[in-house]
Amino acid sequence: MIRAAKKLFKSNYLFTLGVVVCIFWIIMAIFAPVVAPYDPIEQNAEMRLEAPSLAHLFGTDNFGRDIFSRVIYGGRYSLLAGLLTVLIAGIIGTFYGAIAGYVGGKTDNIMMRLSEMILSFPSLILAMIINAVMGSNLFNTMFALVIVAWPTYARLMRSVVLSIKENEYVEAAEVLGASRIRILTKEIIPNSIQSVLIMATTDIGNQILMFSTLSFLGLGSAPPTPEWGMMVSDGVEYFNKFWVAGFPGLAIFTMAVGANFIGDGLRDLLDPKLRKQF
Amino acid sequence: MDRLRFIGKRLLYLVVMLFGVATLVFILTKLIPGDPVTANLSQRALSDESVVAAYRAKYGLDKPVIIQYLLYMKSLISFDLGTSIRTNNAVLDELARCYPATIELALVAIIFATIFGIFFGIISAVKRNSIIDQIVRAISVTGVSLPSFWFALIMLFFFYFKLQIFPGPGRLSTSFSAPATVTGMYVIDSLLEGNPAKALDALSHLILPAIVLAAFTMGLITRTTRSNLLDVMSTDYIRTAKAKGLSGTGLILYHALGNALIPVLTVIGLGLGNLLGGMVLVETIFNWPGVGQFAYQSVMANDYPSIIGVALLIALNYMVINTIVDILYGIIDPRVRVS
Repeated sequence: MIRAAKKLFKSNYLFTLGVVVCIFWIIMAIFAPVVAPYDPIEQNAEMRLEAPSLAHLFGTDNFGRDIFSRVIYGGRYSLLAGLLTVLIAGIIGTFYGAIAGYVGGKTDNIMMRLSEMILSFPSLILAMIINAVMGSNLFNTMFALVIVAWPTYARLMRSVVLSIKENEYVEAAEVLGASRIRILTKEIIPNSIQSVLIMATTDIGNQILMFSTLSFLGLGSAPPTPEWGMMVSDGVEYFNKFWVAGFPGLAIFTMAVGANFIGDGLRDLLDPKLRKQF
Repeated sequence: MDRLRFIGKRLLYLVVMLFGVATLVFILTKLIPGDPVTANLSQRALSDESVVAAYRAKYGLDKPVIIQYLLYMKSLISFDLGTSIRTNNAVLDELARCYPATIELALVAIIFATIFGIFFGIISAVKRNSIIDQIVRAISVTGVSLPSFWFALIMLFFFYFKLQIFPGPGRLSTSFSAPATVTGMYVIDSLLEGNPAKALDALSHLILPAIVLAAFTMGLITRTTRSNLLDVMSTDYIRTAKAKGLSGTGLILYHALGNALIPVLTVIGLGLGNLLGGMVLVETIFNWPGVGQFAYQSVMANDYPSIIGVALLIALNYMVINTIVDILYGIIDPRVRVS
């Protein structure tokens, strides 16, 4: 495993790049108060819309706030939203899909049709509706993201479980008289979790994008929170001052790309079928 | 016979799913806090008890939820989506007005995504593990990771504001008036009017938003084409073809690509469905009067009848596209039908 990981770092530059970028953002988020040169919400009417300079690396926004500091702090929200959404949606989806796949029959049919109904909604619009219904704040935005995200995990988990449950060790456990819950939690889920983990890595990037999209639309946390999506939407008005929207957007992009590179690399590493071609 | 049964089964499934989605939308509307009466009636009407009662009776709001559900289903079956709170027009008319603009944009975007996606996918598979492959993979991951609202702003900044190659937001330049509505798609309608200059102007307005929309789907198509082509290249029949002395472009184009592209069809179908969802951002930024912009304005104005209409329309689109893809799949690849 360690050798495979070493090989991955050496042969897949994109994976390495992804790891570097993500670690960079995590460090920035943790040490934001140390790294950021200014207070992210402090306004300065004399310094409105200043172009990038040595004093303000990324320039200032329409309230004279330092965009560099705001971008550094903004990483906290995006990372938190991405990780938590994937974690919660992953857990719900894993259990839901495992139960549907293992129990099978009518239960499976009904459970899967239910999740497909959510999937047949355009995810952004569903998240927008939920957010509008519940009122927009950080918690509700994440709730909306989880509602939209879990069915994908359920579907993947179910398909994996369908093939895993035909294995002899599952049969052996059944013959030994293990309960269904025991078989599910001790045999089936641990053996099928790998594909879910790979998907989760890539999905962090997607969720960060979705989160910033919602806050771009004004459905995230309230101003003056330095949230990347919201910062880009501030820049729509000051279209010709490229730095207002440019840098926060670049931050979203690099973080999403980083997560996607890692997910891609892991898939190549862990999926034996792909490893052959690698 | 077998094929007809397969298609029949898919269509039945479509009806069941539509029914489910409509139910889900109904439940969502019941979860919405706030009384539709207060949202729809003016202050003066609200103070008059008899008006409120009449309003409740008219929309069946005085009846139990289950009866309300049946009434809702009945009006859906007769294509009655209610009246928009924001614009006071029938929601169905609003959607009919927006839909062609969205479809026009989505079609151009999916054409871009398919052409470039398949092209990049083939290059990447053929030159596997080379520097070109790495670059193409980087491009495809980039496409999937771009925040479309930011990408849209960047494109506008460079190609409209700085370089002035492409026109800015909107469907037509101000020097042209909208063509008479036949299909609702400006390029086609302008051509029907016999005005190629207007058609060209409409087309140039389509390019930037279409590129932004296409980026995500193009990434997916590139990835799928690459991995499927690699799979097919290691099958026995390709080895046989190689043993017969075939090689290079001919082998890939005539023997491998056909089979490799079957799964790509699903991705294109799914992509088209997703495009319609991704419209919200692109249409808002490019001021494109389509379903996405309508959805955004409706959500912002708490216009629930319109939100329900949009949700149903997009879900319907998504499911119809999926059904068509499934049926096509069954026709192209008979193994799908058996399983």
